[in-house]
Amino acid sequence: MTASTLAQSPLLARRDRLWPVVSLSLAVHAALIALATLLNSAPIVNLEQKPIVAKLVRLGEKRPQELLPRIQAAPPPAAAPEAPPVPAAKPEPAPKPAPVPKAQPAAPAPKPQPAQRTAASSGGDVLSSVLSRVKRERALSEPTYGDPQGDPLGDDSEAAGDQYLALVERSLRESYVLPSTISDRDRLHLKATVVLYLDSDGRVLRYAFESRSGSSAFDAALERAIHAARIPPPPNELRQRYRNEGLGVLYRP
Amino acid sequence: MTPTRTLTLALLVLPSLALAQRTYIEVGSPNFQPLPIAVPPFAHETSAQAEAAELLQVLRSDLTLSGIFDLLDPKGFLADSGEGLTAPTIRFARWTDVGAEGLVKALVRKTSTEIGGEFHLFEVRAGREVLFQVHRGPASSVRQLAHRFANDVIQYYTREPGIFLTRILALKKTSRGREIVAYDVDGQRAEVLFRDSGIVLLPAWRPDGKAILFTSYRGGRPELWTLDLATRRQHRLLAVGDLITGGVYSPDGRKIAFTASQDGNSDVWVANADGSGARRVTTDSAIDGSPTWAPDAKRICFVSNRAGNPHLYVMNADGSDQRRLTFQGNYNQTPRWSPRGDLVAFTARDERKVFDVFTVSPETGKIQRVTQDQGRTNEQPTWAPNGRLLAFTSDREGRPQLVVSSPTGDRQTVVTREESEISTPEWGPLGR
Repeated sequence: MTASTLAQSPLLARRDRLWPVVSLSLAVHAALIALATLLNSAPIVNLEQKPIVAKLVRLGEKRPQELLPRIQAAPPPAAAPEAPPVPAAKPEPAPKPAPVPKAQPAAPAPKPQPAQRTAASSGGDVLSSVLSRVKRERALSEPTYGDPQGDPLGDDSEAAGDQYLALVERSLRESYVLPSTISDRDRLHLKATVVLYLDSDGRVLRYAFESRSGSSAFDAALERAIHAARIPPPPNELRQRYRNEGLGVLYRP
Repeated sequence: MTPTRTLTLALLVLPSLALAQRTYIEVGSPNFQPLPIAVPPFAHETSAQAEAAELLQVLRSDLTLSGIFDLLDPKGFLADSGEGLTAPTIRFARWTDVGAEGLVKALVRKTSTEIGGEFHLFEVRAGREVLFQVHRGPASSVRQLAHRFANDVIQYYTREPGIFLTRILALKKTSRGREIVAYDVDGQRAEVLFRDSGIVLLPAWRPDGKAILFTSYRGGRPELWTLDLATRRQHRLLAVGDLITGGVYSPDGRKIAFTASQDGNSDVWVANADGSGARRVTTDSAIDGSPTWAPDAKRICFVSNRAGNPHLYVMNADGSDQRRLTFQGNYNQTPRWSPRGDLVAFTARDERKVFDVFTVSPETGKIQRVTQDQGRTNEQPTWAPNGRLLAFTSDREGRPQLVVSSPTGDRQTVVTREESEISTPEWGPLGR
């Protein structure tokens, strides 16, 4: 290729012509950004604002305020295994009124079947099952206090709201376990911020301490809590955000 | 990429990055769980086998009682029983595998007159020794040696003094009369400090731990007496009005508060520690009594039925600024202010007519339950000097016995198994 050929190349000619265009573009963009910044400053984001944490409120009358508090009882244990079910009697094709009613039990009494007996039916366990049944019945007979507008499956809180962050907060709190050896004094001031980068299924892809607490026991406990957390999948519109920018979590005792 | 293009890209992308804000949430209210700690059998000289076993048992009991450790079951240990006592000789992975965060090892030695031990504490994850102590004492002091090292371990983890060398006073009814007995925190080594065939009530420690204040009827009416623990000499301290009960020293030891009845009106009084300068600080016509001092000795919590039923009230030590503290329940009594100042423990009767132990915040009035469905009567709470534990009496196993509990009640241990009834426990100070 000769020098004259090169000189006539359209590529070179275009490159020469590109500079004024790029310069103009840069100037226009810079002007637009400056204008936008001056006229409409970035929205003020309140980083202190906390998400609303949702908890279901248990259905029931409110516990009178003058009563002393009671510790929320653990849910009553599952019903103790009863005697083996009696095979259902064959249904009669049509109920016939007996001409002479006989005093008979409505159903045959369940017979203990030795072949089906398990350790649960030993003497001590029978006693414990009876005791647990009595306890359960007593618990059920006691008034449960909650909120007249509550949910039968709710717990004690009164807050309301529904946000993904509330679910995240709850899942992180469930795995948030600290050793009791952390002193009360430390509990007053310890805090650490961790950024969690979430996959689309809620899994923690990676995490990084934005600020550490200064207590190795506290920070180690946070790492264990993060590993143990089961975070729900982010909504579609937030997936990219939590994957790339992460979600900041401020842990306090 | 040319500088021009880089600049162009930067101008286009940076503003959008600057506008992006990371979302932050706050997570609190952690679930505090005891720290898993392994205490395998101690190495020992041949002659010290029994002592090593007792040391191990007492130390394990203390760490459990503290409420902040979860003692791992030795049956699950994977480490070689002949493993050494120093970090390089310990395979920490085997302790990690059983979930241990802390590891205690010791070597027990014995002479004809003396017992001694070298104690080691390791942080398992870090694989390093964090505490080494040598304790020795008379041959009969095996339990105290274990308590001393338990205190060391507590001090290491919490940076607060341990309470295992403190003692708990309580009254015991026997066929020979009433006894003031001092127990170790684990309910052992009961020592009768005072016995009286008459009525003795409400023993309380002097803050230096060298004397006891109690109510006695030996003068024909209830009066305040002191008992010097070194000499066992008793001394009548104070007699005011018709009757006087329930004296308690202020935390600085300079004052005593007590209940006295004059002209049929029961009130809270304050006097100097030597009994001088007694003066009434409540004047309500209702029954006021059962005072307890705030740790700064500037405020007093007491019981009054001025609202119809016994409730807790708070006032300044001079009787000013009286305000009602509890509004729940209808029979709240025996308040004891925590050495930390953040809670007052008390006994209350709930709607089931059962007496239970509760705590209330003197600042917010928020009440929390400590006992529930554990016998008919749990009462008369008293605080450990570090404020981390409570002791009270409970009839959950029959006769009222001493229970040591966390302030939340999630860990409770009946520590005495006396044949007699125990009442009015009072936890002693540190440093006796």
